[in-house]
Amino acid sequence: MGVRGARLILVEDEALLALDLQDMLEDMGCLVVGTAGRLEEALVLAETEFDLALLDMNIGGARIDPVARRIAERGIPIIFVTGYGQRTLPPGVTAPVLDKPCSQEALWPLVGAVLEARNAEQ
Amino acid sequence: MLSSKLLELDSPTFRRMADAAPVLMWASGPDKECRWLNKRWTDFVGRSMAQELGFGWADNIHPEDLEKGISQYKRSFDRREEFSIEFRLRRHDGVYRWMLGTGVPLVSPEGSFSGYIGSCTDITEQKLGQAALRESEDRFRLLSERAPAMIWLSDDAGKCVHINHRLREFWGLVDDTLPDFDWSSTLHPDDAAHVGAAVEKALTNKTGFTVQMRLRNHGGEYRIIRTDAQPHFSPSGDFLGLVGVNIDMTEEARANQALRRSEERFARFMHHLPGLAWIKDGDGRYIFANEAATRAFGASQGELIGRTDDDLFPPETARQFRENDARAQREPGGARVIETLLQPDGMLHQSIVSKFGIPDPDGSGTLTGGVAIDVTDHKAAEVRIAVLNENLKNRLEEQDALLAALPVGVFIARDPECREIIANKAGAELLSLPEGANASKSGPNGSALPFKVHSGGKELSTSELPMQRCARLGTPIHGEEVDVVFTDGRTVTLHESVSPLFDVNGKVRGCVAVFVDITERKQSERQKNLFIDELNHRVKNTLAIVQSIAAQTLRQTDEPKAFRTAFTGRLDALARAHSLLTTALWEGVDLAALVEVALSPFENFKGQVTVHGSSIVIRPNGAVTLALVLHELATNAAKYGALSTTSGKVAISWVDDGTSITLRWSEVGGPRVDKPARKGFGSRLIAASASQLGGTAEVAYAGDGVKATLMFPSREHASA
Repeated sequence: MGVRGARLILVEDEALLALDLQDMLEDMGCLVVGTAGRLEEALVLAETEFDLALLDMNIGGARIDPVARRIAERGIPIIFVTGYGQRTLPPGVTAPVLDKPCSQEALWPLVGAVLEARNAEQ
Repeated sequence: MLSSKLLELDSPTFRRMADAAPVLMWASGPDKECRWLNKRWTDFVGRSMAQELGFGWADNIHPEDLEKGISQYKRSFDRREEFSIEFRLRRHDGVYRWMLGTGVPLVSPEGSFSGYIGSCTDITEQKLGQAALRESEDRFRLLSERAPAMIWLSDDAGKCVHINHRLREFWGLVDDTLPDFDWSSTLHPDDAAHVGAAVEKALTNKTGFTVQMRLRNHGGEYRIIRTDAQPHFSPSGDFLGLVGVNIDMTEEARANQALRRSEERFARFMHHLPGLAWIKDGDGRYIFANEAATRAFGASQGELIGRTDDDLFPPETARQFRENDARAQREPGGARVIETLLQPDGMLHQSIVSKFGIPDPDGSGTLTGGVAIDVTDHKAAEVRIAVLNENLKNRLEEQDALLAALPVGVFIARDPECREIIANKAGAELLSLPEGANASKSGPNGSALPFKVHSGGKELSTSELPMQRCARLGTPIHGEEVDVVFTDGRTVTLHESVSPLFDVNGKVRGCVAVFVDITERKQSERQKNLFIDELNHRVKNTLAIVQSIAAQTLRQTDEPKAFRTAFTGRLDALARAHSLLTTALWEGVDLAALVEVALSPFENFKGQVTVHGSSIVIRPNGAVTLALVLHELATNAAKYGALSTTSGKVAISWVDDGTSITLRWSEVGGPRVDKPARKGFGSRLIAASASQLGGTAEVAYAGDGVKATLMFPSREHASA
């Protein structure tokens, strides 16, 4: 499975950013199968089927850690998006970090690389 | 023996001669009887010739001398010998006079004996002189023997003829050794020459001499002896020899030497004395002054000695000195005074002077001694010290006031174990202690203090406490933070700096500490950090939103003018929402105000819009989104909906049922609307907002206008 048709979830508490990210991801051929702006929805979303999660590190003032841990446990790759240089990864989670505002030029190669790596593993 | 032939006794010539002779003369016959006396005899005894002739003369002989005299006279007569005899003869005045009588036998050339002729000479004076001399010599020897001096007598050749008891003792002589004793053998070889010369000269010139020499005594010890010798003569003027007195000068010489040494010591001592020292005689003349004194007086020893204060100093100074000298003589313990003197360095010097009387051994009045210590520097130092003391007092007062006024805690420990720590007012307050209480945890009541000290969440032991540690290590501590946890549960954070205090030997004697309560600062720092974080977050977020708006707007519009209008409108909406939030300090905004701000560009349509809802506070994050949503709805309404015609109306309302908030946008009376073929930005944004707010959204395109409903939990996004 390539980038095209890959299933992504998006957790972002800023509606406009979520919209924009979704557009960018969809423009590169991915399917955004779920979005969440709050931690509780994100935790529900984490249990669904997807290939990659884009997670804002901070959601409504709370760390995304529980969501990230859960996804990492499931062996699904994550790309973190952070608003203000917060680069402390949740314990036990390894993932690349993108700064907001993120451009299409930064997002696409990273998403592609992560998905390819995941494909190679499988 | 005289020849009678030559001597015609009866001849007138002889008789005349005999009568003129200055001696008493007599003649007797062979029968021993006197047959003639010269006139001097009869005059001497005051008797007639007839009375004296025969043995008449014997009546005048002293009874004690008579028998002896007669027998010697008769014995010589019988032997026809010349004789000489001393006897006492009574003079006419009844006084016996010593006479030396001589007799010569008269024998003729033929050998016939015709008697004797003789004379008598008055020898009383000689006799008495000899007796006196003898007596004098006896007396001399007696005195000499008993005299407590060493006395000797020599003959005219210099040989010792008398050595008295003391001198015999000196040499250890006994009578047996005396005749063989040669005193010069005891003379020190180095003195032999000059002593010999002196003796020789005295004997030759019959004069006296005085010499000092070393003589060895019986113990073998050389003693220093001074000899005074005088010549002595007989009554007749004959030089008899020398009489001398020896005086043992050894002790005196030693005493002199000791005195000399003592004087040297005194001079040396005085020379090195840093103070001034001098002695004046009874007339106020300097007889001694040490170096320091001559320097201070500006006069050499030569100029000083023998001069008085009046000679040396200005009248006022001299008067001062004189009066103090007089006082020193009056008072038994002397006088202790301050004297001033303009010295050669041009400075008026002040000295503490001790003046005292010294009894003069010569008896010529009392001396005055003076010892002075220049205290000019001391005086100046005293003034300086007084000023320093005053300054110190002021500084201490200032320090006390400062300590009391300082808003920070100051703690002082004056022992290296910090067993007692005193605190200023602020310090005591900081630790909730009464003023003046011992604030030391290592002090006697340390465990009773109402707090514990923590660092990094751990309680510090007594020895780990900042002041105790500083005093133990002797190194300053800067900028440590500790938490003081009080028994009542309060905690204050203290920023502390401690400096050790050292004694003169460099040993730690305590420390001083400054404790600043930084509890509030820590809190505000935390707040500031939060704020900065928030600001960063917001800026980044805002940029991200702007980027998103731009991207979304680009997707929607094909030509630049339309893009600009749409983009600017959206940015304005964002900006107004931010302004509102800033005014509200980003703590949340009233929904009504948010609606008003969002619709402010649509002021022209004011009459067509109604707003109705209770007061609901919306949190910042949701507020921005809502403002953008409202902006999209209003823009859409103005372009295509109810606000595009004058008859159209928009009703905006919201309710909060305690669980959720329902916000409604309802257009009526506008042109007919249909559901757009493509989902526009506005509807997508509403959906996304709902997602963000954890709620739901619904947009209906009823024929008479757009109806939008947004529902979201009131618990998270609003507060009453």
